[in-house]
Amino acid sequence: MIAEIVNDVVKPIGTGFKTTLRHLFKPKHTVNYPEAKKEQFPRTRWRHVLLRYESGLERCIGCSLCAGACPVRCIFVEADDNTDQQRYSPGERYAKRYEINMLRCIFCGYCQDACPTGAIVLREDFELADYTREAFVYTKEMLLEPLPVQEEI
Amino acid sequence: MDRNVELIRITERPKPPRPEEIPLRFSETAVQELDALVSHYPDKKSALLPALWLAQREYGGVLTPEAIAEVALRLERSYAEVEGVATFYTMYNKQQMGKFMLEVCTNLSCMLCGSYRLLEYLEEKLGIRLGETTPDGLFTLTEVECLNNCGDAPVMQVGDVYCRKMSVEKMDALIDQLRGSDEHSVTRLADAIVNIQLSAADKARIASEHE
Amino acid sequence: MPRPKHAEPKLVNIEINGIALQVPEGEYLVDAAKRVEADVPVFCYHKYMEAVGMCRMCLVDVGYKQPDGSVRKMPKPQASCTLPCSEGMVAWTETEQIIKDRKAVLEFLLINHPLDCPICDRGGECPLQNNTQFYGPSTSRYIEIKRHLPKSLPLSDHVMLDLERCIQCGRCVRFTEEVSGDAQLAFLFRGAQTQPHTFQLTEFNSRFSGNVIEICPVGALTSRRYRFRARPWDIVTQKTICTGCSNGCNIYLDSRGGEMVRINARENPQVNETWTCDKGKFQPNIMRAPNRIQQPMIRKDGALQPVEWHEAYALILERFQDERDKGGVNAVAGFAGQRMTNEDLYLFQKLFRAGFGSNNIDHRLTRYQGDLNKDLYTPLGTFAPQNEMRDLEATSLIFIFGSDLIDEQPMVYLRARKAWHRFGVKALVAYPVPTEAEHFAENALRYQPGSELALASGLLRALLGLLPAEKLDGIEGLEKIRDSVASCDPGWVEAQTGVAPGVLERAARMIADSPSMMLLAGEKVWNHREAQTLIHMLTQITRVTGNADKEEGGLNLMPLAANGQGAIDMGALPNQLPGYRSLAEKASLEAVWGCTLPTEPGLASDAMFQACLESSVKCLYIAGANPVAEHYDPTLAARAVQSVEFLVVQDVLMTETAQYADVALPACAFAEREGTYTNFERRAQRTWQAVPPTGEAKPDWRIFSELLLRLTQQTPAFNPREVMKEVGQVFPAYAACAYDHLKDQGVRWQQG
Repeated sequence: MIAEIVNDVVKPIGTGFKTTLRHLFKPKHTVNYPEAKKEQFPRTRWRHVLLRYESGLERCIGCSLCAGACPVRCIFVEADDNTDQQRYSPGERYAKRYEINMLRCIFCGYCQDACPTGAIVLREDFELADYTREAFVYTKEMLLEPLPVQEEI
Repeated sequence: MDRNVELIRITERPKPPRPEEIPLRFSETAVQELDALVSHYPDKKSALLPALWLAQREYGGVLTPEAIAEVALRLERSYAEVEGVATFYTMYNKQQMGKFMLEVCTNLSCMLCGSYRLLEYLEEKLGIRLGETTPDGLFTLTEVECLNNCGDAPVMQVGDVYCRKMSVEKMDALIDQLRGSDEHSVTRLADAIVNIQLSAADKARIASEHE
Repeated sequence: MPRPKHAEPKLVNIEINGIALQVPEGEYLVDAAKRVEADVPVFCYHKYMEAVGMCRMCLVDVGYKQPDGSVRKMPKPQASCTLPCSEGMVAWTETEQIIKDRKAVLEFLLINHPLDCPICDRGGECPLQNNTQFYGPSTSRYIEIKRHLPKSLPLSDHVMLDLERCIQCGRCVRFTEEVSGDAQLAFLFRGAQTQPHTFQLTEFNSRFSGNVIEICPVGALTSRRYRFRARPWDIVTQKTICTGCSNGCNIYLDSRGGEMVRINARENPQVNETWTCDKGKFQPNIMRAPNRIQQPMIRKDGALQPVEWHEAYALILERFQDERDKGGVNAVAGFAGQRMTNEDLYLFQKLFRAGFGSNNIDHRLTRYQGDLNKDLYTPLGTFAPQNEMRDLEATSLIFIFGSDLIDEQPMVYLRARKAWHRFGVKALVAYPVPTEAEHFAENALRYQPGSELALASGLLRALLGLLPAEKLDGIEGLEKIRDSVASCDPGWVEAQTGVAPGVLERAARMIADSPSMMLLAGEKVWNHREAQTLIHMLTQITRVTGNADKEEGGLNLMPLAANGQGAIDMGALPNQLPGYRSLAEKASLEAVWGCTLPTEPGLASDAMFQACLESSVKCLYIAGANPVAEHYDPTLAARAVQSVEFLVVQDVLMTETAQYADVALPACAFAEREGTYTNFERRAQRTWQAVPPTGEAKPDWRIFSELLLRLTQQTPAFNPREVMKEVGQVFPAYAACAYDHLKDQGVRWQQG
């Protein structure tokens, strides 16, 4: 009877704990998300970012090529004229509205390929969950890289 | 290019002038000459080049916008078309030139015979650079391509006169002579070209009508 | 020489890429190549302009068949856009040499082209881009810095010029010179500085300036209105027609997310070729006008209050039926607008005739309000306008009478100018003040305003004296005509009109000497004090010159608004049923509609407005019209709409007329619905829906159809296609204009 209990219950438990014990000393694959985050691969394609030039001007010229390349049509661009008083980007044209519907986006990266100025890139920020559908329409202000901090001389 | 700077600055464009707004400055003789010239061609458009020479003479050696407009009006063409022709050819002056245009040939034969030396000498003597006009409005210095007189190189053209086998001494003499002259070489050239186009009968008729 | 209308072209045998075919002699090789679907890229060549061979893009190898059967090749490639086909021609479009040549030409064009395609409005629909993709080199050997010139300079309120992008194909310059005729653009300077520009930085204020935007094969000339608003892949293109005037230009309406962004011309060789006028191309976006009527409204306590559709319908029917029962059929009246489609107009008059039993329906805003059947069709024996657009090229004289053609009928102006420019057709203009058409007219009659009748009578008298007797022989009632104008001698005409006898004589001689004449009559005729007599006089001129039954000549009273012709065809008239039937011929209509119709003629628009003032008309229904602003006598119209007891206005915008409405109904604008319009040459053309309706707006025909349903309890029409089918039953000529037959280019209905 006791032999049976040892054989059927204690031994398997021991085997199990042995695996646990063995893995206790091996390097861990999981991280303590959300306190800790895993490092992403350099070419991971997640949240879009609109880049700026070093001068602070936007790279995006509002050409809508990303919208044309987008297989799910989730990008909307409305362009306007740059003026000397209100200059957003070099050249004549800038994006007045730039919106991406993140619910539709399949993160294929075609927009990044299509962009003639390298303005839109897909970066590592993967935490895109939100509570309302409206919040998934990312506007230009949300996508745009913050202005570079002026270096003090 | 000054014009391009002007183009960028322009914000509001004026309307094209109406025919009645154009001040007509052709003299009576010029009008008659133009009529004679027009009669040489099947349509008025063909007389555009001689008409522009006429205008260059009448407007004192320069095709101002008014001159272009007047030619267009008299030949019943559009302003833009006439301006296109006038700006295409370099011998039509779009800017006021000096009284005497010194056109130094810098093509092969003249260059070998020292036309660049002459040019430099002239620049120094007149105190202007190539393409500029002296402040007193007397001389404009330009270089031209072959004047078809290579045997007498270096050659310089002043109005309708060829100055052959030029040298520094001859240049000094010429400049002094021109300073004392009251001719206007640019209009004289224009006049000469108009006169070549007119037939002897036309000239006689116009002259007799004027007496 | 005018171009004969039915000439059989001589065919020649040619061979392109080994395919033998027959083409009309003289057709350019570049067009012939399209017949065998051989691709020949072009920049400067344009089908509707004269070929110049400037860009060298269309080079092909050409040879000729020799008598011994061998082919002798030309040593060098030829520009196919200037090479007319002739017997025995052999062409190759894809030889190794040609492929190399194309690469070289494109590499050359791209030396200074800025390649700013991402921000160029043309990017995506650019011939230079396309040709470079298909035929161009992948890289350029030129590494030098590109030429820099001013970018984005406004030429006018409509056109923007970018000098860096220009490839000097000369299309715009040629357009202003050959087609619009104002020659406002020309190439200035030479060499690398060559640029198309206006004279001395003046404004490019041509009436057809918008066309240069479309024909520019690069993005050098772009639209200021469309600038940066959308890219080609953002927009939805819908074919439709312009409703600005009665020319009915075929257009593409491009919209982005339901918003109209631009209008482009659609090719229709019969109507507008590929041109548009600036009025049409840059028309204000009526769909998004701030003063649109958004929902049905009823006046309560002195102000218009939004209501549901059914409430508005109930009120309208209650008041109209009530007043009709009390005051007879003359207590209600309907005024139809000429911006409505044929379907709308047909159902509107059906609503009044079959629904309310009243013939009080009219559409005319002009002074002329006579009986068209009697004044026009009886004397001429044919429906006017007699001619179609391409007859302008076939006729020998175009007589423009009382019309500022460029303003009223821009496409007719362009075609008349083309007829003069290309085919040497003469033109004669009669108008009180100088007009653009005078530039190409051989003779101009400038008369005192209002003296059109005296001028026409004087001309008729002079013509009767000039025309050979054998030509006048067969004319019925010639003596009566002679008597009627006997007193109109040149001296009297000069006193009345200010036209010198010599000028009149010259004009009359021009007419008498012309084998055929197209008379184009416009606004000054419609609004003449004695319009009826004047129209009579013009018909007599047409008759005595023998143009009444000619194919390439005739009288054309050109309607002034988009569907003026349709309104006449559909019987939106007090004394005429659909299909030019008099009221006595109502039997066939009754059979189709299943009801009895009134026999008494109704009130024409002036009488209608007068009756409103006198309160004998109690209910007035104005659909798609703004008589307060557009009637020839605005005060009369304004007083009428103010004093009428119950006014229904159904329109797109809150117009001056709609301000006085008791019930205002929102109608769809032209691009928000489908239908057909009949242009001045009797060509029925379809429109399609391009953008969604605004607010609660409904197409006019649906509103009438829903009212009819409530009145007659008959199955209503569910779509305009069905309405058109019914029109075909009522008016057999329109059976040919059923939706299945209309296709893209429309059908010109024929009488008989």
